[in-house]
Amino acid sequence: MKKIISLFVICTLLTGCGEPLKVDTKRSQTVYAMDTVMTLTVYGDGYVADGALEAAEAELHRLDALLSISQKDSEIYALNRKGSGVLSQEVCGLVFRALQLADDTKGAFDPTVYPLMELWGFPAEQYHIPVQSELEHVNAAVGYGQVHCQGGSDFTLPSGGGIDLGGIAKGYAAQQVIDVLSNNAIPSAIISLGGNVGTLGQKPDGSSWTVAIENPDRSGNYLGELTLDGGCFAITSGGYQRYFEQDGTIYHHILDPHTGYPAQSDLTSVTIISQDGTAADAYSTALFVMGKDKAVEFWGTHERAFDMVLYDGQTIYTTCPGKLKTELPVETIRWG
Amino acid sequence: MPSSDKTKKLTSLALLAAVSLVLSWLDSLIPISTALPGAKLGLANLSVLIGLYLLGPGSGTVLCFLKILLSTILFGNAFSFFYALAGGILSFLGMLLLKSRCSVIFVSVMGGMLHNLGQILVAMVVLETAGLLGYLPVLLLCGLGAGCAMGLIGGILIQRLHPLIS
Amino acid sequence: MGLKKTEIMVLAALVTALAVWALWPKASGSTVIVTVDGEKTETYLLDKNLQMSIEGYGGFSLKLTVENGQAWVEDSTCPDLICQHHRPISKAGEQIVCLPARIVITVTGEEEAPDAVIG
Repeated sequence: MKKIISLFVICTLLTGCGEPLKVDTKRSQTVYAMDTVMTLTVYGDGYVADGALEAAEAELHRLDALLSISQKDSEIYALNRKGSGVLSQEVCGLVFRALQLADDTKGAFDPTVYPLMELWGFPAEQYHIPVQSELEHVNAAVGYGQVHCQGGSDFTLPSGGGIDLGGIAKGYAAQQVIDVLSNNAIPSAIISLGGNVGTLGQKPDGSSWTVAIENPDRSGNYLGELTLDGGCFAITSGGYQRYFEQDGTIYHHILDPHTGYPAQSDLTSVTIISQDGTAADAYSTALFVMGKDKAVEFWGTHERAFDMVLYDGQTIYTTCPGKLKTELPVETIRWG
Repeated sequence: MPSSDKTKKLTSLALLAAVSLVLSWLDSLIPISTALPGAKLGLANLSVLIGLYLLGPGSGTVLCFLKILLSTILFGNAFSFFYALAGGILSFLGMLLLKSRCSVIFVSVMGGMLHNLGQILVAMVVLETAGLLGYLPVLLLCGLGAGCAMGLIGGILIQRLHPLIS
Repeated sequence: MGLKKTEIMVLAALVTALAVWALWPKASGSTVIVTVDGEKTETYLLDKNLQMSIEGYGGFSLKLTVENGQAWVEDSTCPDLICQHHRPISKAGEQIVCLPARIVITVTGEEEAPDAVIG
C-alpha cells in the first residue's frame, strides 16, 4: 500500500514539473505604446516565450519613440518643428514608403495630412470646425508631392507642412514585432496593436486564427469572423473609430486629403488583409477615403495582392468570402 | 356503482383537487435556487399520487388535468400551461405504468423526475436550444428528493385513507 | 410500503450519475450568445461591459447587462420575471431563459471566442 502511495506521489510531482517545458504554453502580454493598448499572445516553450515577449515589447517602445509625432526625442517631431532635417535610415525608409503609398493610392492616403488633422483638433482632442479660409490655407501645405528629399535622407517640408507616420506606424510595427518573435524561436503567435492584427504560424493545434471584425454600430456584435493563416496582417479603418459631433453632424477623423474634410465615403468599415503590414495599414485608410467603387478598382489594378472586407452599413463586399463567416448579406467582389 | 360510492369518489376527487391547489401554491412560494428560478419542488404531485392509488386511473387522470388547469389559472400564466401540461402528462403516465410493479415511494420519485423532465423537454423544443440540458441534473435531483418525501407521506396517507374512500 | 431492494439500487445509481453530471467542472465562459425564438441574434464578449435591450416574442423585452465577466437580466417586462431573478452567469454552458419572450442567453466557452478583434 505504501509503495502505491509513494509511486502516486512521485508521478504527481513529475507531471507538475513538466509545465515549463510544454510546447503549447500560451502567454499573453499587454503593452501600452503608440497611444494605444497592444496585446501580444505567443505559444511556445515557457522560458523562450518570456524572452521573446520582452524583446517584442522593447521593439514596440523603440519604434514608438522613433516615429512619434509628439515625443520630443523623435526624429519626426524634430522634422516637423524645423521643417527640414536628415533622417536615420529606418525612418527614412518609412517616409519613402509612406510617400510611395500616397502616390500609389493617388493621395487617398497621405502622410502629409497632419496639419489638417491639427486644424480639426483630432490629435489633442480639442475639436474645431475650420472655416473655409482656414482650410484652404492649411490645405495648401498638404500634398505628398511637396516633400523634397536630397541625397536620399535630407528632407524638406513645405512651409506649414508636417509629416505623420501614424497611418502606417502600427502596421509597420506589427510586421517588426512578428519578425522579432520569429527570430526568438516562437512558432506561433498573434498580436493586436490597437486593433492592427498580425499572425505568425498556425495555432498549436494546427488550426487557423479567427479574427472578428467589429461592427461600426458599436453594438458589440461582429460584422463577421475571418479565418487567417500565419504571416497575415489584418487592419480595419472606419470613421466610427474616432469622431466628434456638433450641431447634429458627425465629423470623423479620416480626412480626405484632397478636400480637407472628413471623407464622404459610402463605406463605414474597411478591412484589409495582406502579407504586408505597412501597406495594409495605409490601404485601409486610403480605401475608406476612396469609397466602394474606387476601392474595388484599386484592388483590381493591384493584382489582387491583398484581400478586403468592405461594409456600407448594410451589405458586406469582400474579395475573400471563403475566409469570412458572417450573418450579414455578402456580395463577392470578382475581377473581370 | 351505488350512488353513495359515486358521491364518495366525487367528493374525494374534489378534495384532492383542492389539496393540489394548496400544494401548488406552496410550490410557487419555495424557491429552490437562484440558478433555477423556475424550478419547483413538486409537492403538488402528492395529491395526484394519492388520487391514482385510491380512486383509480380514470379519476387519477381527471385529477391530473384539473390540477394542471386550475393551478395554471391561479398561479401560472399562458406560457406555463404547456410546460405544466407536458410535465404533468409525462409524470402521470410514468406513475400509471409503474404502479403495478413498484412501491409507492419509487412511483412517486419517478413521477417527480418525469414531471421536471417533461418541462425541460418542452422548453427545449419551444426555444430550440439544447443548452437547457445543463440544468437537467440539478432539476432531476430535486424531483428525486421531493418525490421521495412525497412518496413517504403519500404511502402513509394512502394506507390511512384507504378504508375511508374505497 | 417501503422501497424494494432493486429500487434502492436503481435510485442510488441515479443519484450518483446525476450528482456527477451536476458537479462536473465547467469551463469559464468567454462569449454571450443571444437567441430569440430560436434564431441567433447577437453575440457579445463577456469581457466588455455593456447594457442591451432585447425584444422577444409577444412584445416582451428584457435588459441584458454584461459587467465584470458576468451576464444577467437587469429588467424585464415578461409576466413571470424568472429571468430577472436568475443569478449572474459566467461559465460555459450556463443559460438564462425567458420563456414568455422566448429569449435564451447562453455563455459559451473559450473555443468559441475569436483569437483577436479588429475594428
